[in-house]
Amino acid sequence: MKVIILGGFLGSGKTSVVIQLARHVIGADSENRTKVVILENEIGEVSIDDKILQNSGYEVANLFSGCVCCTMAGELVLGLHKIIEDFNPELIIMEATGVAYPENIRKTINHSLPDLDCSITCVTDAKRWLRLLRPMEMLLEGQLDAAEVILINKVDLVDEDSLSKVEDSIRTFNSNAQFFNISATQRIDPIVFEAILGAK
Amino acid sequence: MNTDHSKHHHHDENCSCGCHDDHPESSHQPEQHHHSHHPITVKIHDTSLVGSYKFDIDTSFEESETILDGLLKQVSQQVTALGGIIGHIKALLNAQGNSCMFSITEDESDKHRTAGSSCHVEGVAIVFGILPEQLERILNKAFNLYLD
Repeated sequence: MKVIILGGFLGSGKTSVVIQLARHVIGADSENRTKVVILENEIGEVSIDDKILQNSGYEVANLFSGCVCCTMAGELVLGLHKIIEDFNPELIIMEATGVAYPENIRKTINHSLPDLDCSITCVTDAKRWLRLLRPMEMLLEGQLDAAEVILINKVDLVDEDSLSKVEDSIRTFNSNAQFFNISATQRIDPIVFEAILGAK
Repeated sequence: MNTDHSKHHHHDENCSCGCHDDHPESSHQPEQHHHSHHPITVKIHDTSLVGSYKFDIDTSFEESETILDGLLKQVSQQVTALGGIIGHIKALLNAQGNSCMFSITEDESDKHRTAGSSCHVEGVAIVFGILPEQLERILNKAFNLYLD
C-alpha cells in the first residue's frame, strides 16, 4: 500500500492537486472509488477542505484541530490503521496542513507502519514564493528538503523571469527532487501524477 | 505548542457541554473550567496563529457570499496593516433553509419552493507575525455584527 504525503505551505494549492490526483488514480469507474482514501489534516477547529473533497465524491477521513506532524502524531497512526481496516485502499493521499513538516509525518508512519511505502510531494506557490521566502524560510525549507517530487503551482500567474527566479530559489532547498510546473486550476499532465505515484 | 487564547465560557460540574465528562470529580477546580465555546477562537501553533470562527448570516446565499467576501478581505487587510503575513483565510458558506414542498394527487404534481434566508459560515484564518490578541480583536471586529 502506498502513502503519498502531500505537503506545502498554506494556500499553495494542495487540495486542488489532491482532487486531480485522486481522479487520475480512480479513473472514470466509480466502482474504483475505495482504491484511494484521502486523509485530510486541518489545523483549525473547523474543517473545510474535507467537505470540498467529500463533495467531489472521494473517500475522505479527517483529522482536524491540530497537526499530525507534531501534536496529533498518535491520531495519525490510529487514523491510518482505521483506513486500512475499513477500506484496504491501494493508495492513501495524506494532505498535510500548510504548516506541517512532511518528513516528520513520514518518520511517524515509518516507525509505526513500516510496511507502508511512503513518499513526499510538496506543492509550492510560484506567485507568493518570493514574498514568503524571507519571513517563512525555515518552514519552507523544512517542507521541501525531504520531498521526492516538487510541484511549482500557479505558474500561469507569474511571468517567465519571475518563474525562473522562483525555480532557482526552490532548488537551493532541494536539488534532488523531480520538479514540475503546474497550474492546478487547469488539467495537470498525467506525467506529473505518474511521477508522484512512482516516487520512492 | 497549542495554546488556547479564548477563555470565554466558564464551566461548572453541571455544565452539559460534555467536554469534561472524563474528569474525576476531584479535579473540578473552578479555575480549570474555563475554556472556549465562543464562536471565535485563536490558538498558537508553532509560529502561526490559527483563528477559527463560526457564525450565521441571516440573508440569502447570494447576499451572504458578497458580505463574507468583504469580511474576509477586511480581516486580510487588517492583518497585513499590522505587519502580519497571511497564511490563508478560508471559510465555507452553507445556505440553510432551502425547501421544496411536494403535493401530488392522482393526476397532478405541484411544487412550492422556499428560498433559504440564512447561511452558516465556518472558517479558519492562519496568519503569522502578529499577536494572538491582535488576531482575536481583528476577527471579533470583522464578524461582530454576526456573532450571537
